[in-house]
Amino acid sequence: MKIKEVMIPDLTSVSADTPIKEAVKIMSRQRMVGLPVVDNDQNVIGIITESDITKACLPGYYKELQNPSFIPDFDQFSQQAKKIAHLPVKEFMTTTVYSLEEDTSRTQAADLLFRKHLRIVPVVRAGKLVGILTPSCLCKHAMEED
Amino acid sequence: MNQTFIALIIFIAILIFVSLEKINRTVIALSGALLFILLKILNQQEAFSAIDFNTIGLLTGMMVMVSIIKRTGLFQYLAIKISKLAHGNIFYLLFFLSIITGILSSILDNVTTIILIVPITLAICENLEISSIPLVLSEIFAANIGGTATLIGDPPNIIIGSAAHLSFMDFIINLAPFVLILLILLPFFVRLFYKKEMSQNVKEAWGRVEKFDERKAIEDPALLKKSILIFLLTILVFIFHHNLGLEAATVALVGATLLLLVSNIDPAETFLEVEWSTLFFFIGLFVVIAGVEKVGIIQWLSNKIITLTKGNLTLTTLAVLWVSGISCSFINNISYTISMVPVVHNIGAVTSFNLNPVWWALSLGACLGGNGTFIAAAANLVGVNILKRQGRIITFKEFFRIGLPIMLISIVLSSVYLYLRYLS
Repeated sequence: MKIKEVMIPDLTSVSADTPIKEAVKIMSRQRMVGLPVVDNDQNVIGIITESDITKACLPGYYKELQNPSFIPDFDQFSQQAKKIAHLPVKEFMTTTVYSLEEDTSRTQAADLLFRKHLRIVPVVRAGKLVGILTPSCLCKHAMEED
Repeated sequence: MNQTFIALIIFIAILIFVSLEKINRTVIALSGALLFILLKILNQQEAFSAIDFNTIGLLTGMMVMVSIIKRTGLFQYLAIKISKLAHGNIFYLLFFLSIITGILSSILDNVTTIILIVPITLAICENLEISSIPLVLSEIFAANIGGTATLIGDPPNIIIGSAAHLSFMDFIINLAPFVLILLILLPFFVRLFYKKEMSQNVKEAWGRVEKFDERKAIEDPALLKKSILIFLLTILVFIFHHNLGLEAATVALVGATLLLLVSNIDPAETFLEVEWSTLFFFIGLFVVIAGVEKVGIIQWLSNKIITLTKGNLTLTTLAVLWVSGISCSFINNISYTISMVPVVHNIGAVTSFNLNPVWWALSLGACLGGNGTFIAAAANLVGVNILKRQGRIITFKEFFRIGLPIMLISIVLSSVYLYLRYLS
């Protein structure tokens, strides 16, 4: 079975110039953990995920601290979030994108998703976005097929 | 080519490559050591017996202990608690953070101290919206200074203590009081370079720091109690280790093993945090220096020093101090100290000197020299790299502008101290 039979044929995506705030709104409305970033011809040029945005909102020292629980408030996070809200997606997106051709087998796709710990992968036909694949797409189909 | 010449070339090449840091220092030291064996300057038996396992054991024991204790959050707790004493005055903050860094660094290795303290400093500075550079630089200098105070504070001291049979208390009595004075003077000196930053008013933002709850930094209270108990016990045994007839490595390894026993942490996990690369760097260097010593280079160098200083103890001590301080601003202080130990031993054998002032000069020079440039000590590089990840670049020149005067002043003060206490 090819992944085009199990993917979500959803073309929701953003452009590189979309403000982060907009991308977050779409993610939250569509309940997606990430969005493919496409150019005018629907070619996938990157991906922006919840974790890219969260990382950008965290104050710089956060990663260096062994245990940040002694910091009481959310101030630094909110300030940083406000700062980046209007910046374009291209400043935070991952440009080395793992994408899958729609004719890829499920085994190959599963291998990529699990080995690289990916939660969302754009599915493409000749570089153009045709859908997305998540680990649950694969699991759901595997559980339901006869 | 005769063996002496080959050994000299290998030795100088090692010193240069270790300082350039283009190739991993451990690989260089091990390559040098093996070259000495392959070229038959040393046989395998001689090479293996040249390794000072007292130094290796002490380092390993301390690395295991620190890797367990740092999980408890104790050091962060202390850093936050002491920072709050500043009550919104940036200079006080700089002062207290530098002092706690120096004190912690006298019982922990300098790099670990910096890794634990700098992130908390960044959190405080970002909440106060002030530059973290003066504080972090002062902490780096304090870590190098504080490490000088004890046998276990900095690798050169571990090497010197083991080679000269100087005990934990010898270091405390002879170096700690002077180091404490240097530590107290340091923040005042750093302030001269950052007057503007020190006079900022942060009274309003200080409330955010006051809200930091240091108790939440303690991650495992049960482990904390056990660790403190065993750590204090270990320090107590360190104080009496010579009277008890125990080598420092035995004390550290007993402490480490006890801590592994009571903490119930998988040793495999703890051993992952032991810096094997550093330990093998030491091993390689011990072998290299044994080779250099065997062909007579060390003998030649010590004779030269005696001739130049006309067999005068004061001149020899001051020469060792200044040459060490300046050399260790540019070359790695571990390789330098391991090279100098047999030189000092030789000076002692040829002359009738009481060598103690010379050992203290070597320790002060090698440890304090670490402040001269940012390549001089591992703690400097680690601290500067943490700042770099935050987008705050400290150039070689900027570090040098403050580091060099601090190094020079501390060496001048050390000269006065050594002269007044041992030589006059």
